[in-house]
Amino acid sequence: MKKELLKIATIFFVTVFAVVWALNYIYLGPHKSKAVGETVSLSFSPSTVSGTTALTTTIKALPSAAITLRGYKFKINFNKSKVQITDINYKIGTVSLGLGDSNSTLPSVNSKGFIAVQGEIYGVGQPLTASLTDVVIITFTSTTASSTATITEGSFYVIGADFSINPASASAANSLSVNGGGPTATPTVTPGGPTLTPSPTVTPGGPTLTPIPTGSTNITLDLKLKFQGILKMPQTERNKLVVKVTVKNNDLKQSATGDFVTTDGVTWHDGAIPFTIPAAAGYAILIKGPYHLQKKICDTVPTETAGGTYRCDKGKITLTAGNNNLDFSGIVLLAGDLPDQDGSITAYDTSFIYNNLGKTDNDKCDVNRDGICDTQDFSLVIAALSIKNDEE
Amino acid sequence: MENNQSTNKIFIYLLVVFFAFFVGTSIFLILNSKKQPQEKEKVATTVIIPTVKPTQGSLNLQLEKEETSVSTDKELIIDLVADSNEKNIVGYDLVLSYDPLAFDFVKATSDLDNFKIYPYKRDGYLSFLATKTFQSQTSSVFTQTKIASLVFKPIKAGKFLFSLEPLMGKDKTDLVTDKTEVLNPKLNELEIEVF
Repeated sequence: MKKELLKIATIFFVTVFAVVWALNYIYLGPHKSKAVGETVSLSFSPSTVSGTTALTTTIKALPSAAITLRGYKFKINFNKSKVQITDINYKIGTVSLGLGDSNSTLPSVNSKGFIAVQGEIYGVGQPLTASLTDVVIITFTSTTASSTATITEGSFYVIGADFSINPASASAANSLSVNGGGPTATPTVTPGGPTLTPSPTVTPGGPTLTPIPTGSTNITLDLKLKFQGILKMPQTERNKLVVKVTVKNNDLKQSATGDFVTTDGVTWHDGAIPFTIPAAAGYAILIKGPYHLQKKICDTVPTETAGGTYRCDKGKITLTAGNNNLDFSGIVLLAGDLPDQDGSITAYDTSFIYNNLGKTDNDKCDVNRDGICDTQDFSLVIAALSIKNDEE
Repeated sequence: MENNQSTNKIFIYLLVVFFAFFVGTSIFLILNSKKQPQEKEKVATTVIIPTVKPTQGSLNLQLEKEETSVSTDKELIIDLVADSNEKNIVGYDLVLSYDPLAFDFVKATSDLDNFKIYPYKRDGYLSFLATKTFQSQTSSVFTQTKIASLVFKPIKAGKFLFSLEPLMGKDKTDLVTDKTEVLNPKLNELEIEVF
C-alpha cells in the first residue's frame, strides 16, 4: 500500500511539473519576445594595439541570441593625455545626431577623454545573429606610453516580436591595451543601473589619475594676449577673461585654463598657467578665449600685418622648465564663438547679439567688454567670419 | 477479482494525472497572473526617449527652372526655400554636400534684402552662414519662402546629388529665431543630370 502511495505521489508531482513547464514553454517561451532577457557582450578587436599613429580597433557586439536592433549606446573611456581619437566610423545604423559622438565632435571627444557612442537604426531595425558584429571602428593616435581603454554604460535597444522596444543588458568582455597598457577590471553594465566610474589607468610605478608624459617637468606659461575689439579698460566686473590654453607637440596635447586680466585695456595677461610636460622645442600653443575662435600660435613672438591674419603650421616654440614668458600681443585673437562655444561662428552667435542689442545685463555677448551688447560686438563677429572655425 | 483491481488502479492513476494536470494549470495561471503587473511596470519604466532631434520648419533645395538636367555650358541655379514654422528668423546656417569634381561653386546670393549670406568652401561640401542686417526691423517669417540662390558651373556629365546635411565637421544646418531658439529643419536633396 505504501509503495502504491509513493507511486501515485510521483506520478502526481511529475505531471504537475510537466504541465507547468509545458505551459510556460508554450506561452512564455521563445515565441513571446526575443527581446526579453537578451544580453550583448561588447569587445575590442584587436584588444591589444601598439604604435603611435593610425591605430585601429573595432568594437564588436555579440548578442546572446538573435535580436533585432533599434539603437545602442555605450561609452569608450580612454586616457586623453596619451590617446587622441582621429576617426569614429559607425558600422551599424547612423550616429544619433546631437547625442552620439562622431567625427564632427572629435575636438570635444579628445578633450573629454571618452567617446559617447550612440547610434540608431531607422525603420524595422537591424537583425543581429548570435555572432560577432562590428558596431563602430575607432582610429586613434597614441603616445608611446601605455594606456588602457574601457567600455562602460552600455545599452542596446531591441525590437521584440510584439514590436515593443526593450533594453538588452550590455557588458564589456575585455578592455583595450595600448602600447602594453595593463589590464583593468571589466565592468558589467546594465541599463538603468548606476553609472560606473571608470577604473583609473594602471601604469608601471603606481596608479595615477592624471597621467604625466615621460620626461615631464613643471612648466608655467606667462602669456600676453590681445583680443579683437577690446581697446579700453573694462569695468572691474568685466575685467576677467577665462582662456583655455593648449600646448601641443606632435602627439602630446595638454590643456589648462587661466584667468586673464588687463591693466592697460589692450593686453591681457595671466600670472602663470601650470603644465606638466617635457621641456622641449617644437611646441604650438592653442589659445581659445571665452568669446573667441581658437588660434594656433607656433612662434614665440608672433606678428601680423592685418588683425587676425596670422597663420602657422608647425610649432616652433621652445618651452623650458619653470616660467616661460610668451608675448602673443603682436597678433589679435578673433571674436565670434560666443558661449556656449561649439568651435565655430554660427547663426546662433550672430543672432544672440542681434536679439540682445542694447542690453547691459548680458555678459555673454559683450565681446569688446564695454558693458553693452551693441552693433560694435556684432561687427566684430562679422569681421571674424573670414575664419569662422577654430584652428586646430 | 484481480482484473477488477487492475482496472481500479488505472482509474486511480488517471484520476491522479487529471488532478495533477488541473493543479499544474492552476499553478501556471497563478504564477502568470502575478507576473503580469510586474511586466507592465517594466515596460513603463523602459520607455525610450526618442534620440532623433525633432525637426521644426524646413529647408529645401529647388531648381529654379524645375528641370533636373543641365548642360555643361550653362550655370545651374539652385533655390533655397525655407519654412520657419511661423517663427521669426534672424539667422541661419546651411551645409550643402555636393561633388566638387562635377561642379564649381560660383556664388550664393540672398534673395532677402535684409539678410546677408557668407559662403565657405569646405572639403567636399559648402557651408553658409546668413545673418539679418541691423537696419531691418521687419519680421522674417518664412512660409515656403525663397531665401537664397546658389549658383554652380557644371564641369562633367553624369548624375550628381546635392544634399542638405544637418551636420558636417563643425558646420551645421539650422534656423535661429528672434528668441535665439535653434530650429532643426527638415532637409531634402536634389539629383541633377549633367549632359
